[in-house]
Amino acid sequence: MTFTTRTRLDGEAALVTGAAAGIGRATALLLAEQGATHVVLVDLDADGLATTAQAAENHGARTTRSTLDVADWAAVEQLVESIGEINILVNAAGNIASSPFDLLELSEWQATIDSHLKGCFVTSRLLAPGMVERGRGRIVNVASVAGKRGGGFLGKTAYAAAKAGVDGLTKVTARELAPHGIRVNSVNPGLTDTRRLTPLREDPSVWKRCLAAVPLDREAEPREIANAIIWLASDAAAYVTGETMNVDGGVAME
Amino acid sequence: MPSRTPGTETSSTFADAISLGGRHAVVTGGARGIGAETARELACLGATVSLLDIEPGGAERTAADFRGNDLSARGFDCDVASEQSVADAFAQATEEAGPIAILINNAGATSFVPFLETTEADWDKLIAVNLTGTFLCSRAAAVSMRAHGWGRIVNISSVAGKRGGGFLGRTPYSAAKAGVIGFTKALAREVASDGVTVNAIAPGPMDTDMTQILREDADLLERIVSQVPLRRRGLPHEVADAVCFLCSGLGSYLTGETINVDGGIAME
Repeated sequence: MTFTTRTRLDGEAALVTGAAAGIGRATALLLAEQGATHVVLVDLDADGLATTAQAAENHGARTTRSTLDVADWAAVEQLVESIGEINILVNAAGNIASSPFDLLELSEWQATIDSHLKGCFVTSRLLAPGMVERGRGRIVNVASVAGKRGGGFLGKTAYAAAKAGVDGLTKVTARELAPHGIRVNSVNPGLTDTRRLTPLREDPSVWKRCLAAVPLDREAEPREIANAIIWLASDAAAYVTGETMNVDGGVAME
Repeated sequence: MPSRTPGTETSSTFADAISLGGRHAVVTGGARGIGAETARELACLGATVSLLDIEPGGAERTAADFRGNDLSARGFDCDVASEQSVADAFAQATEEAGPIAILINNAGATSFVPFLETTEADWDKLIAVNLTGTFLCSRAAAVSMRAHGWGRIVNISSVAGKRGGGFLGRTPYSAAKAGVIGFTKALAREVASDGVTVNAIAPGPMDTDMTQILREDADLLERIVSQVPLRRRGLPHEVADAVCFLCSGLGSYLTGETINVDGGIAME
């Protein structure tokens, strides 16, 4: 066994939320590339899901698509009952909330907390029992440096609170599920080249200020975040749990 | 277009991304344990490895073993706490295997002496090996990394540096290993624009010769393991895997980060 073999995911079944674009899509494709045989793709964007599914199938994986709201317990429960064993869960779903604090409505707050934080809870809560039963599972949550630094680039109060919550949830579930052979970790991306960056890029002075805060002086490609997710989900990270890893070009250094 | 960290733009597949084809990697404390396992894994990814160790002939013995398995390896005697010894070893390694692209600062020492019994000599020795050694080797390697616009430095710290000891290693060890984390971040900021990333790994309780004491004290071992969420000690290859992640194209967007490889013990 070497690092190369331990990063393989041959025969695994995985579920990825937020799989229609960005980090979720890149992760779904890497799961398939690394040998996962069944990848369940969840997102509200059906067109994006179809594109991801086609690309994952080109790597030889079987895919199942579901356009459900990750915070909808009943819907997720129904999906979980229909897809069979899942040993890898990647939570990448979530809306960005951008209202400044003094204008933030309760509805936007609630929608942000639900999609980022409650979604992680619901999918983890409903998939963990099967993992416990089999004594094997890996959960990787996508948080954000915004949760560690308190915003700064994208996302303000609601987003930062939800993402800090994701890291908290990651650690508690890691502690509780460790005795059952389940590892739970998160990645905290910084500036990542997804459609969320569009508003920042539109204003050159804003974009310049964003990059100035990044020691590596560039944004990440979604694939670079997915690489970290795949490592954490693989047996090459067998002694890593409860870790909230920054994949941020050095922005957060805490 | 901002400068891109090499290793991302051309990596079309995962397999391409993890290849270290031909890169020269130096691993300190490479004769045994985590260092030897890390060097072996880096060599398996295609790196040419130079092992450095203070044990006379130890590094070369391990390197010879690697060569017997068709891996590219050399061994050099080196005391990382001695500026002259580091200069000599790095010069020799560079002459034989080319410019250094990857440096793993793994050499370390610990002690179990309580604070009120710790002497100045105990303190100086642990700071020298664990912290000053990391500085000296990084400085020796960073020159060629900067010149080539690409480099990876991974420092082996310890959860003792984050939690303040608790299991093994007391005040000087914790202070030195916490110092390694501060050094990692400061150096990461300084060399980021040169295409060099600097990260650390904080292992938890490991099963190595350095923790020989645990092999002899079952009660202490049980007390430690019971506090680890994963309920076991880590193995050298598990630290090596984290090093491979950081040194390959997979870790291209991490810098200044300290990854706990600790079974969940440090969660901060």
